[in-house]
Amino acid sequence: MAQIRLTLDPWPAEYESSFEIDGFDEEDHGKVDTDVEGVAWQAIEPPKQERTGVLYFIDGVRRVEARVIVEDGSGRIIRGLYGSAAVGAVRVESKMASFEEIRVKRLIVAGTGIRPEAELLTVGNTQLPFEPISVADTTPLGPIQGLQNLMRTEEAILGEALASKADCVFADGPLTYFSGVMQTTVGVIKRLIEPYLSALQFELVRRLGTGQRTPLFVITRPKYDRYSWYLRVGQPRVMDHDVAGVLRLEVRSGAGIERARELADLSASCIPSFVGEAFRDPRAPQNLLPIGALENKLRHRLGDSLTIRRAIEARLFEVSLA
Amino acid sequence: MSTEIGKILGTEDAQPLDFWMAVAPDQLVQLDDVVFVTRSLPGGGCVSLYGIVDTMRARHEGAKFDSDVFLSEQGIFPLGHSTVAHVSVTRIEPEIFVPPLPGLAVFRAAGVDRDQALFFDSMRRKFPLGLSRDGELVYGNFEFLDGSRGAHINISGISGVATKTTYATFLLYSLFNSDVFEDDVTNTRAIIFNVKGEDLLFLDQPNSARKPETERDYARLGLTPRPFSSVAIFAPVRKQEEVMLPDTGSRQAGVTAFCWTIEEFCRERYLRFLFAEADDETSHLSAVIANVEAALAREKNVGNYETFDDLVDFICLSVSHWGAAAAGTIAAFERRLRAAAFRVGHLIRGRVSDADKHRIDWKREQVTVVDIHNLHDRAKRFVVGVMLRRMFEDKERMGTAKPLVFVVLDELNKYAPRDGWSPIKEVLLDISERGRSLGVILMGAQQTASEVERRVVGNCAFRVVGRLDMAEASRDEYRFLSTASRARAGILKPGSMIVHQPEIPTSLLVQFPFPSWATRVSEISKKTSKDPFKGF
Repeated sequence: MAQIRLTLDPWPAEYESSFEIDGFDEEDHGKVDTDVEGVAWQAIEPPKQERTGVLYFIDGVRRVEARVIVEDGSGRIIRGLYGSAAVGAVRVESKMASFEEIRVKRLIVAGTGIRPEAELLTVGNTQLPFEPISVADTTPLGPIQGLQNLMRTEEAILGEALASKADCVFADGPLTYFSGVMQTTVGVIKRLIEPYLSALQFELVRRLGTGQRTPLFVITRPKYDRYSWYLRVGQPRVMDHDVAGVLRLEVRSGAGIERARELADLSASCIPSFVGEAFRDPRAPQNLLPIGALENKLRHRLGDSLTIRRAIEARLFEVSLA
Repeated sequence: MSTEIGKILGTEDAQPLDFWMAVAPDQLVQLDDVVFVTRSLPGGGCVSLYGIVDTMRARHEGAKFDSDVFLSEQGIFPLGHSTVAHVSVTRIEPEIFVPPLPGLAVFRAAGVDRDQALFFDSMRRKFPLGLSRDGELVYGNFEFLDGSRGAHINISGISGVATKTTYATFLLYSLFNSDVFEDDVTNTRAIIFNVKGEDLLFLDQPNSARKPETERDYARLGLTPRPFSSVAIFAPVRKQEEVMLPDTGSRQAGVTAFCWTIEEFCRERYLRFLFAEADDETSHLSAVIANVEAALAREKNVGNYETFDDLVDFICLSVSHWGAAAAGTIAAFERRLRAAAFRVGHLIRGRVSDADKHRIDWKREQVTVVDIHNLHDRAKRFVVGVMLRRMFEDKERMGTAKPLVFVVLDELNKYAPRDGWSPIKEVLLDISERGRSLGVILMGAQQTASEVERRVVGNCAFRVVGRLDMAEASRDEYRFLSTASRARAGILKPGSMIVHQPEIPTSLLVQFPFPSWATRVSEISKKTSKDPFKGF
């Protein structure tokens, strides 16, 4: 019997694992073409170069301020929530990193297709306008998904707006919400869920050195074709599993193979320099420093949750009395 | 016009007497800036809080680790900056003690707002103390100097860098030239003891080393840069010379040699000032001194003694006849008397032709400089003691406070040390405590206030520090300085002083201009320069 060896998943246990690939499904292969770049299946290490142009990193955060049950007299159980979402960007140019375009939204989300009324909550000396949105979903998680979708859509809108001003825009997460087929925004995926590669091909991912990427492969999905590549941004420690420190990146295939290769090389040469140490960010090295800082900033801009919750309680109390 | 420079912070406590403000990124705010904030009150009405910036700090916002700064500077980690300033409140108008609310706009006080903040609006008679860091006038309240509500100035600071004497002379210049005395200006007098170097022997000479900005600074202070107009300079007579020549190096012309006659010495009972060392005070010894003084005052023929040594011989022969004392005490008295005679004897002469000419007449000119820097410590004490006592007795006889007499005396720790007793200390204590009503204003200076008699320092309405030794600055004597001012006192440049006056609860940093009078030979304007060897 083979010797059993345990290796560590370096992310703290309160986060979901960064490595959730549950197997190599050979059937999926038909939709993935690993030969688009026309090179042998081996590690590519583009030469290191000085960052010259403008890079953007985009991220969003969301928070449920309060869950509500909507009563419309029909006896149905309709779930809803008060939520906040913020998206923003970090602009990096030579030796300057700065926050840009921070946008905060307040929402009342209701499920089951119910559209609540807009509300203006008074919190201290500010007025928070809560916009109503409705989701068709009737499940308890429906409103949260609605909030998440809105945040992701806002991220996509911001990314598309910034794409023309930058050499590259890195968005946090897959590009599912980016509507533009020609988009050159690069999605940076920290948590690997689907392998897209065969077990044999995935061996290369395990052996990548820092700053090395796999050749491009194209993932064909209806309305969502994209080029993708794996990139190692940090070397695992001796006790870590061998996929620790690997990101998957993707760009819409509408960008064209040439542009996709440029972006892949750019990502391989520049992203490792944005990697933090574990003491700075528990999800290091995958959670890039600008993204981590942006998340903190955005979360801060959501405001104090307790204060907002108190304002919601006060409003609902008033309404109940009326 | 007052301009907005920032907002009250909400991340630190805002209190009625001090608060923090966030500085707007496009505004330059520095220590000592005068600011105000106005808040409305529930139910109507407003309160304005005026204050002075006394601490500032800048930080990265969003940084968790100290090393984040490196990442930020490489353009990897985005961080924000914040600059905040702490304001010590000087005045609240009207006096309703409420904290300013976070978010309120803070303004830089200018014009009438600044006058309000620093109480200049309520000073009926004021004189320029100097310029603030931003070039604005800083006033002192004359009512706290002329005796009506307070008196005296005390200046502390390290020798050489603290520019104590220069500031004292600047204050005199500012007082004499700012109309603050009104009609009394012609009769107001100042006595300056020159204890170190010969800096003060040229007060009547224009300064040729003046820089162009000096003119501008004086204009801002409402003054014209000129030398002192009415100055008499006295220096001790040279030792071992019959001719009465002043014992000065760099200046002879216009300097009067001073001495006393033996007759005057006996009649006016100056003997005690020969025993001015702090350790001379034992009750037995002072009884002997008092006996001898009384006997000398009675003696008819003292005028016959040619030299002071002759008088000393006479005293030593007669002392045991003038009163009973233990042999040891008499011996101690004689020993000390002879030691003093060796140092001071040349200043007390038997036959002086035209003795009046060599007596220090402090009433003749507006400013009288008494040079004692070449004298031995004992002789310095004798001259200061005799001068101050005579002046004080004159003022007592006159019975009125006005016109005032200012006394500038450096090295106060020698004349009024914290420990021990001496006749000069008594005179200085008298001036400190009664000078206010008699119109004698002491402008004392010393390296370390902690070595000076508490009551002498404690009676001063104006407390000034120049560059201070850090260990000294932490002593109780400097409690009037805020923690921030104390730290700054350690790095003050020459020409900058921190001034505390009774009305303003916080001390102010002032800068005073380069002297418009010469402080050394090389600074004397060519035009008026006189040949220092002309007297030979």
